[in-house]
Amino acid sequence: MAHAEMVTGPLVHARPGAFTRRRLWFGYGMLAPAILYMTVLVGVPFLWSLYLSLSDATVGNSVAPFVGLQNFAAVLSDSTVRQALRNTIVFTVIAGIFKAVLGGLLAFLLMQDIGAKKILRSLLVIPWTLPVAISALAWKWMFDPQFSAINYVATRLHLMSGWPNWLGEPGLAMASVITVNVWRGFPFAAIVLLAGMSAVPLEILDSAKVDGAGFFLRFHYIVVPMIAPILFVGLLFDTVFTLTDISIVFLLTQGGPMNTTEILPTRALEIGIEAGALGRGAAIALLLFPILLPVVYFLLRFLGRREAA
Amino acid sequence: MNTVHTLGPGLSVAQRSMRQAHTRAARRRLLVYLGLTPFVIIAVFPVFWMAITSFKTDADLVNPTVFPFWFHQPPTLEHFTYLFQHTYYGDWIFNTLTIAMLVSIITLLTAVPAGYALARVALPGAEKLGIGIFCAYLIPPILLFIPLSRIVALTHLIDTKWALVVVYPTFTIPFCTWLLSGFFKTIPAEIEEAAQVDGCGRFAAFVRTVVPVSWAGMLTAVIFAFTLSMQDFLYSLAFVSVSDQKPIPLGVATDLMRGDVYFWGSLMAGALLVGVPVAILYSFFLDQFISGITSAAIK
Amino acid sequence: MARQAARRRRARSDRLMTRRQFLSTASAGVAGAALLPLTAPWTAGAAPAQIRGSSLRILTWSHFVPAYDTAFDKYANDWGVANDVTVRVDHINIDDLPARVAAELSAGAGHDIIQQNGVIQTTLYYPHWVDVSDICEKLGRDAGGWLPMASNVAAVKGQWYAVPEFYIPQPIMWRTDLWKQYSLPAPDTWENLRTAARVGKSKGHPAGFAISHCNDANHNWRAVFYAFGVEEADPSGKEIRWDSKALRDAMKFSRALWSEGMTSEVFSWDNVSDNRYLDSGVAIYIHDALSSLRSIQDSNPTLYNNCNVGVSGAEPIGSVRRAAVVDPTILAIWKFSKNVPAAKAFLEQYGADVKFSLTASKGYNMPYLKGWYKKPMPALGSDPKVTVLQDWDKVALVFGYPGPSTAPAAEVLSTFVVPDMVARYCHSNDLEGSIKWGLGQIKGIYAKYKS
Repeated sequence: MAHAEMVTGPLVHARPGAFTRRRLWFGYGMLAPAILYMTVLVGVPFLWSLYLSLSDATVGNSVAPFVGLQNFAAVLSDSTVRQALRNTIVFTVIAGIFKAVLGGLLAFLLMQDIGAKKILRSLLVIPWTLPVAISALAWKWMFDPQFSAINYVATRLHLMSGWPNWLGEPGLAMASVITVNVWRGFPFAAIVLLAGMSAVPLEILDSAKVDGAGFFLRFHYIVVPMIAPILFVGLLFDTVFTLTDISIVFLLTQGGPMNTTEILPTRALEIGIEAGALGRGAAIALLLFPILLPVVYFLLRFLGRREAA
Repeated sequence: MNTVHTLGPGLSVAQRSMRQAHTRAARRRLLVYLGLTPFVIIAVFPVFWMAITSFKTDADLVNPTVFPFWFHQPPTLEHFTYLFQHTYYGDWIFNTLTIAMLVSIITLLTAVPAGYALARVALPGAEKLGIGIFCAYLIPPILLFIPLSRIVALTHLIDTKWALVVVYPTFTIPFCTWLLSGFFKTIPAEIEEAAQVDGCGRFAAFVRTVVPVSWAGMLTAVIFAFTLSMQDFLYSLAFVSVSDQKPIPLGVATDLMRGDVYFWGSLMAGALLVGVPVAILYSFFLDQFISGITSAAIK
Repeated sequence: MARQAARRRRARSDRLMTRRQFLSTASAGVAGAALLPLTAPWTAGAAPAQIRGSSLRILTWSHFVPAYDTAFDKYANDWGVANDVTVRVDHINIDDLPARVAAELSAGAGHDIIQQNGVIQTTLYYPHWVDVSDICEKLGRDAGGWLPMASNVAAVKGQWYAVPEFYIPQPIMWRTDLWKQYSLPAPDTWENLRTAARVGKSKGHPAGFAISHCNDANHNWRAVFYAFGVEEADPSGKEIRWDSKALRDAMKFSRALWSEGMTSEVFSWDNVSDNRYLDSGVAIYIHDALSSLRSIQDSNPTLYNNCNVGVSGAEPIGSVRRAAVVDPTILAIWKFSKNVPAAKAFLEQYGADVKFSLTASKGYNMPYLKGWYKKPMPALGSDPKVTVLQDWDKVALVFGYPGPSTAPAAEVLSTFVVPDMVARYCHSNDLEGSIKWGLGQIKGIYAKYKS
């Protein structure tokens, strides 16, 4: 705990002794509402789901005997679950790359000194502000095999030949699902990066320029370390959303065709709720954690560094 | 360069280079606009498509032979009137606003003190608690909603919008606590010290001095809470089945997709009516928002 | 959709008056009851006293024939007014029912009566549902008994835990004008339908069956499979019988039907798509519920007149039998309900009121009660378009056939193994590989329920 004392707020050294107890009361008191809320409404249900994943529970019988790791063995031997695991990773990583690239480019453009920036920005942020369930439906309408607006435009502009069936072909279906996620996420990525870039004081950049630092050098030694934390936050926020969101796939493809867009949350819904095997459903949802683990790891390191700084 | 030749002989070198810089800046600006165009199109096209769809008659909508991006029968308001006369759209708007507002309040009431405590009060184990709170954000709703339903049932709020008011803070508190704790670190410590020296208690000092200068951070937290409350689908589906208690996303997705008929016109009208005002609202607060995340993440 | 809130308010204000009216209708009802042996006693005013002043909540789907929602809400409300019960009906999308029902049980709160539709989970939920054997036995007794599939979906070990509500037939809906134009053979065998799809596709009018993750795909392909003799399990529902020559025949036929007569868009379809395929005038035939026809009845009368429903013999014959796979619906009462008597009273009346169900749904809701298949049936007998549905009792089957609709059979259904198996074969042209994959999934599912 000595470590915690060292990173403390500024008042500690000034008021030792009895005051510390009051300070602790005060501090924990301030934390209590949030901790209590999260414990009751997330902690308890989470432990409960852990129990479910280790038991033979069904929707009709949620207090069931322990079966150990049987559910995990069962879901891992299910080729569709393994496929869903792969899809989840592919989905998250590819969508993440696109969002980062598009968001970065957009942030760079928005940094420039141009007019009408406010209007442009408010137009660009629209995808992120719409409820995802609703925009998924709008996209479903645009991917419609008969009335696809995308196909209409693309074929007229000769960007595409034929009339692709976006949600019906294995590769295209995944591309479509990713597209919707990227469309929704790139404005946020841009905002976060914009925030990061504007956090780099211009003087530093300028002095580096005077010192003759090239673009890449400047980018690598100044921009990256300064915007990395904020980038990381954005990435984390977005990754969690992408990994846990169910509505895009649920509303666009239901995991089809041939499970090529099946992701862990939709598979968990299918098995746990629709087929009623709660225990296995919970086990499938828990498979998300190995994927989240690197995220958590970096989070801890990041938070640790922040505290130490 | 051509431009140089056209310049009159009376111009000084300085003027000339200024003129050149000017054209360069203009060209650069043009390039930036050109670069932004595809982004704007990509962002706005689906919304434009929603708008067209929501004003088209049904027959016009499914006519595959005509140019889909314009009207071939006069535009109609029938989808909008349908929304308000034959569905609970008015209630949904009210519910969504109520939920988002109350969720924001709950979030602020819990996350502001928690964020402050994590940032400013040296507490043994605070770091771990903070991480614990934040990690709660990583747990997917699909894993939680069954057990959570039993807890919500204890409050007898099932099937009312209040159930969502109780549940949504589970994903707004973690993020906003983290956000605000970063924000509080940017506030100079002298402010509270001065107040405490004046004889205020810690809490009073916090309320009198820190809160008033934290509006930007709180606003950012509220914007996040607002957005996140509108992104949920699963919790509202599980906890609210009564039509007049639903928030907009659930109402639109469940009451306007009636079995094997999608009411595309009304669906898109419903989406538009919520999307556009929110986007406008955002554009007002975007600067605050950006500075909010910046300070939270850097500090 | 009619505004339930307004109706609820109206119901409240009506109640005072209704008590008085009630006396007069009651005596009329007694006279009427003698003429209508199928109506429950409640219409005659014999509601048990203990349910007066209570409230009842019903969760059901958003009916594919929207007019039925309005009619059902009114029906339930009228029943409530007559019995002094405040009734509230909530409708949600069919795909959202399972999650909602699971959450209600976990919460131990929600509705008194809930519907299951398509995905039937009686074998999982029955310990939490009120035993309604008395109602079901009475309904069966009064109306010539139940079709065998009724107990498959609503009973466990001889006890009834849900009242079979109705089933949704998925007949062939075919374009008589195109049939005539291309001089096609009568669509009463699957082989002829294959020919029709092939010819139709060459002229720009393919057929359309979804091969995707949607409910339609599940029962369309099961209908083909069963017609070619595929059996899911033994009559006890325990032993898997998928692996057979019949399965291979059915798969080969299915792929041929798709490759010759359909386009790839069927891989992306949802429950709505085939309706629109028909509505837009493209499809030569589809295989779906009547709602697709009802939706064009007013909007496109010409097309409506050119569409026929079903074939002679009710469903096309495959190499083995005529078979239809229908979507069953059931209504169950939660044990946690605080108003079981009212729920039972309502189900007893509604369950017997097949005439209402058939008429208000324009022939969409098919009864499980044998007695109602006397021609002419309400709604069906008088509408020449749909008269053939009156023979549907001879062909209607549900998933799990010939066994009951068990939990593993439901999981095979809800994880879309059959459409995926067909889709794999269509894409890869690898028959044994696709079957191996499908059987692997099925065996895995059954194995989990054995332990």
